[in-house]
This record gives sequence, C-alpha cells and structure tokens, in this order.
Amino acid sequence: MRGESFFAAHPYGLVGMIGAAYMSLEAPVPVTELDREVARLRAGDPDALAALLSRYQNRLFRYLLRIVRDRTTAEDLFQQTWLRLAENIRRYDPRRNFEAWLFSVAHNLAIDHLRRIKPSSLEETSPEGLPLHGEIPTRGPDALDRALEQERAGLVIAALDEQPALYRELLCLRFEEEMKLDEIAAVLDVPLSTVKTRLRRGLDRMKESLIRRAPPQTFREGGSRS
Amino acid sequence: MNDHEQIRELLPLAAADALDEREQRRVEQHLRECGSCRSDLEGFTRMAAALRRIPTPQPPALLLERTRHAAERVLLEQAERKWDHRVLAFLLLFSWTVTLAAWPVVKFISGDVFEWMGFAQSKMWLWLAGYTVAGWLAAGVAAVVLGVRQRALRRLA
Repeated sequence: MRGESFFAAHPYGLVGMIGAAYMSLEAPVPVTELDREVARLRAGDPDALAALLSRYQNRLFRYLLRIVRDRTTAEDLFQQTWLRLAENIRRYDPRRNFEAWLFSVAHNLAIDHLRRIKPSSLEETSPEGLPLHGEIPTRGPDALDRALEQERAGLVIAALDEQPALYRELLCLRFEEEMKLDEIAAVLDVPLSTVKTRLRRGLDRMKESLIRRAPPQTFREGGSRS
Repeated sequence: MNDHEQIRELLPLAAADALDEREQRRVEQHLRECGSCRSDLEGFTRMAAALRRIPTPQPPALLLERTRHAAERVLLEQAERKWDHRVLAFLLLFSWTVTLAAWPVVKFISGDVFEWMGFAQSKMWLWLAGYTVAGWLAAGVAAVVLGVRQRALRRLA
C-alpha cells in the first residue's frame, strides 16, 4: 500500500513528524510581542536578538551598573549576559518569565564577578561606610526630608551606591525595574521571605545613609530659626 | 517586640507595596493612632519615589553594536552545529536503511555461492549482523571524517 511504503522508505521523516507534533503540544502559543520575539530567537532569528537587545539595553545596563558600580565592568558583563543568553536560548523554557530569566543570567554573572574580585564584597558597604546596626545620626527630625528635597537624585544615587551589593540590586529590581516580589525571588533565586527581609533592611539603610548625607539644618535644634 | 515595633518593621515594606493583605490591614489600623509611624511611612514613601526617579544610565552605542555582532555569531555557530548533527544523523540512518534493504539482494546474488562454499543457513544471521555492522561503521566513519573536514574548511574561511 502506498502509505506504508512511504513511511517504510522515510523512517526519518516519520520520526520527525511525530517529534514536531509533540513539540507543538509542549510550547505555549506566543501571545505578546515579547513572546513572539523570544520564540523567534529560540528559532535562531538574529533580528529577534536585535529586537530584544533594543528592548532591554537600558534596563539591563542600569541593573549591572547598580551592582558592580563600575562602567567598564558593567559593559563587559552586559556583553557576557547577551552571549550567555544566545548560547542557552534553546534550553530556555518558554513557560518561564523571560525578563526574570534574563536578569537572573545577569545577576549570576555580576555576583560571580564580585566574588572573584573580593569574596566578601557582596555584603560590604562602600569605603565611606555605614553603621551596620544603624543608630540614626542625630541631624534633626527633618534630615531625611532635607536630603530628599535638595540635590535629590545625586544624594539618592550616592546613598544607593553606599549600600552592599545585595541591597543595591534588590532596591534596583524593586524601584527601578518595578519587578514584583515573586519575580525578584526568581531572579535572585532566593525565597520570598528573603526578598522582603532584604528589601526592609535595604530601605532602612538607605534612610540612614540619606540622613547622614543630609545638608546641615538651617535652624537650631528644637525647631527655632536662627 | 511590642506592636508598635512590629509595625515599625513593616513600614519600609508598606512604602514598597510589599505587604500582604493581613499586614496591610495591621499597618493601616496602627497608622490611625500613631503619628510617629505616619511620619516615618511618609519618609519611606518619599524615599521610594526618589528611587523610582533616579535617571537611567545609557549604554554606549559601540557596546550595543559589539554585543549584537558577538551574539549573532553565537547563533550562527549554533545553527551550523545543528545542521551538522542533522546531516550526521541522516547519513547514519541512511546507511542503516541501505544495508537492510540491500541484504535480500546480496543474499539472492550470493546465496548459491554460500551453498557451494558449504555455509549453513543458520549462519546467515551472523553474516547479516556482520554485514550491517560493517555498513554502519563505514557510514559512521565517513560522516565523522566529512564533519571534521567541513569544520576545518569553515575555520579557514
């Protein structure tokens, strides 16, 4: 019979058709533009790579810069992240959140870098230092307000740079990337409770840093103007 | 730790919208009565807003170009490797198919010769196995040699 002889002569084709049918059942149907770009990248489309690079270039670079605090290193890690992505895209599970996966690749590379240069660097503050168990400096009740009002971006960036890498990256993911807590947990590969603990400590430390950096009060302690 | 201190610990998370429903209700209840915590929460909230407004640093254009080219090279190499594997698999499968399909022909042609040489029919399966393995080995070696040669040519290109 014609059908049987066709399959007998093309065993590879039969196996290929069964495999393709199985794979089509496994992979989710792309629904957003991002899903479509990722699907095209998994198929090896270089234009999809360019599209994803354009979509995430600023955010990923910012994230890496926040962690390593050095532009040249951030640039190297940026390139390594995309190379690692290209190498592993076929192993990427499309049911996973792509953004969380991308940032987790960047996170692993950045943390490995920091551990290589100084194993204890993840939890250290900058050379300017910060009390580990903060006593809030006595700079008046409005010190935080003054810090936030004047030279806002500069002071906030300086205070952020002062924090240990563990807190810097978490604050970046929450407030700059605006990731949800479960997404952050996936990026950092830690439990949700750890994310919340680090977030709380990071903000407490930021507050202490900002108060220390606050411009001096323009009126005497107690509230009366000089 | 008293209630006030517990709520104080939750204030940074409240400013970060990171509380669950139960925690949120506890904090809201406490804030109705505690001006100090209200002031603290306001401070954290302003700090969170300031973090959201930090200017985004831009990567240099040269970096983006370099990265794109390097990653595209990786994709191309992967596609070539995949093609090589497919060619190898096809050659091996083809050799298997051809050896099996050719066996009846070989047997038909050489059957009388085997009888004349005195080989028993029961040893035909042995000859089939040997013939098939030889065919597979020959095809496998040919495929590997071709693959190595192709890779070397690609490196020179």
